[in-house]
Amino acid sequence: MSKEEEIWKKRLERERNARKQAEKLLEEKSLELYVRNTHLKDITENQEILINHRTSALLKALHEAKEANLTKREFFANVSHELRTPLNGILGMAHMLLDTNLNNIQKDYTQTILISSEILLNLINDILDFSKIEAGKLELEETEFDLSQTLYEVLDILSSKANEKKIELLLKYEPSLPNSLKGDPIRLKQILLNLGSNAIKFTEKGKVIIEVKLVKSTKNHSILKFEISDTGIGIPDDKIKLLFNPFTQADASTNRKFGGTGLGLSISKKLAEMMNGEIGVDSTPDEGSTFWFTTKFKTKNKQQSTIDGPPVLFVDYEAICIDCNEESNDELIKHLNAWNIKAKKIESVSALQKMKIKPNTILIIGSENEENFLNELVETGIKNKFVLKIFLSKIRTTKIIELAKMNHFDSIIFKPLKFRQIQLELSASLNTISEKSETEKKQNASNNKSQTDIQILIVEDNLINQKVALALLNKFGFKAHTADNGLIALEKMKQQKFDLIFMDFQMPELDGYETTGRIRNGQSGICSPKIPIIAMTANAMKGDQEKCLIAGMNDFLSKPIIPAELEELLQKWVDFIQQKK
Amino acid sequence: MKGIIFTEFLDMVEKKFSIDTVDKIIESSNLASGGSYTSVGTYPHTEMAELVVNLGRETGIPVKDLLIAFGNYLFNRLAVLYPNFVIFENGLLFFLESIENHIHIQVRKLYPDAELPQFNTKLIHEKKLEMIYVSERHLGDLAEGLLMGAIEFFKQEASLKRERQLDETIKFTIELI
Repeated sequence: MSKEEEIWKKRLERERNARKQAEKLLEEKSLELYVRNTHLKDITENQEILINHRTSALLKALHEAKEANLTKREFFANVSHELRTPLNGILGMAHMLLDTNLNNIQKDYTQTILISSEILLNLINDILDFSKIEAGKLELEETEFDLSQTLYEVLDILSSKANEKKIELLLKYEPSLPNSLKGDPIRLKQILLNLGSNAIKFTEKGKVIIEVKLVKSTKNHSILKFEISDTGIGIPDDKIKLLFNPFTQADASTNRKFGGTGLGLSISKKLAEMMNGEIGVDSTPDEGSTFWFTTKFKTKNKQQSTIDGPPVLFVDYEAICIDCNEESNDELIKHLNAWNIKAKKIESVSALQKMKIKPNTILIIGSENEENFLNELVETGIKNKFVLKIFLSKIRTTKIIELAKMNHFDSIIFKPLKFRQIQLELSASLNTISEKSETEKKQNASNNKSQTDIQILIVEDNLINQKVALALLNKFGFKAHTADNGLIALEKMKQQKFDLIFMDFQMPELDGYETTGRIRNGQSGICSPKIPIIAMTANAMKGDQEKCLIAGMNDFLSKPIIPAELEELLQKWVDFIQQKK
Repeated sequence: MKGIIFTEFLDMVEKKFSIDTVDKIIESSNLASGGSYTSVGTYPHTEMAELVVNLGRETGIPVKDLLIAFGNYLFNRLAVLYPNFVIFENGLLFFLESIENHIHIQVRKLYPDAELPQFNTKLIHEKKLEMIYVSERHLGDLAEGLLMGAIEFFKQEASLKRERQLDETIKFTIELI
């Protein structure tokens, strides 16, 4: 072998060795990879088994939790319902008991039962609503309703509490607000009552204002904003976030001082959200809070009615408004102006003496301290140069009514102000009729000439209700007589033959039941014992309607009177009377 | 020491001198591997020392110069073989800073047993970098050659200063001109 060959052989040997080393390394690494891979596969498989196991355990637990939750909610709902039923019994019976002959101590005890069970019922209603919301079972109704009526009902409920605490309660809205809405008036009322009663609860002095604003209006929908502001204790910033959570109040001491479940706001929040709205609060401690919420309602397009009712034409009237509550006075003036009455405010009655007053001027006076004010007025007096004098009063006592009469006020309107009622009152008193009803009247008159022959008697102790009923009957072409209570009614019926009676339930001297009984028994010497009697009742409870019928009444009309309902009722009974004739 | 240093070294010897020189220095060294190297293998660093010393003896070039020249050559080869490791965009100093914490970490992932030198860097200012070379192999010359290769590769004008520290480590100062 040559030297060169030997060198090449050595080089070859070196390369071969290097290759073998590389192959050996490769094999080792491959083996290592294989082992690791197998190990990883094992781990993965084990993990999968473990995951499957855990997942099924979790699913089972989830199912059990859901089941338990559902059972809990159903139990909750059932229990609440079961609680409500006997409580309604207690409430109903306590009401009945109050109508029996009780001495003062018994009356007081019964009142306490009534108030306590009302509080309990409210709490249970809250819990029931809350459990319904939790269970996703709360559904909203969709019915046509009057915004004004709903708001007035809220005012009626809130005003007694506000009066007790001497807090001014004021409703504000633009006269052009839509009135005919489609939605759930009961739930709307619930939110308003909740926020409203909270506002009164947490306010020691000052005022609570409910203001309704139109945020947006499209062809078929209206978005309304309701603001309930008070001059109460307010809420610190850091507590505001918690407010709408269930079971939370601003402060643990709040519960001790003011009571409540803490569910009201979270229910209100849910309800507002279900009405496609929002809820919120702006507050400054020691200055007051404004709770607000928005809702979206369907509006009836064809009959674009506004909240102050059909446009009434008051021709050439002016008004002077005096009220130490400026906000209330301004609101009243805003509405009067919207009805075409030129209204202005003056500071005090003494300023009146110096003014030149046109003969067509209406005077509307309200005062912080009604009794003192009226007493003083008796001494100084207002010259009787107004076409109409109306007194605004927060309190409803016979003393006030007497004092107002002594001062020659034509009528008293009780606060909180309900502008629609004021409008009716004015139109009845001023004998002005809306353009629309004028044509209606003509139509009715030509269709049914004998309508004016029908003699109607309204038996009602409340002067305003009397006037409202008169105004509405007038509008439909009827003339009516009034009686302030049952005794007066019986007296009038002896002197004159009537065809139809509208009768209130609760009246001094002789109430509706008793009066009906005396008419029907034929022994009171009246001309027409079989006369149709229509009950007018503010309580829309089923039991009341039955009570009317048992007492011998023929039909019923719920208050406040809805014109369409009255018209329907009149149609029915006028037909009946005319057939008999 | 990683096999790639040996294979690249022998390649260089073959290119710069001749394949016979490769034979001669292997023959004259007492190598456990017998001079058979694969780039993926690992070999005692003493073999490299022996090969370089014998190359010096064979060619009459000082070992120091040979190592510097090899470092220079090696950097260019590594840059060709592993282009992903050479981050070019941010310049030389940025690259040098990335060796210890970026390149060496990647190398350790592939070769957990690799014994790598440390290049601790400190950026004095945006144009000046200090690099401390710490290695049991004391291949400061090789490191210098690698740095020269890097400077060339990045085509940036820079000065390179080498100082022996008291603790036997070497401080390189690279300053861009």
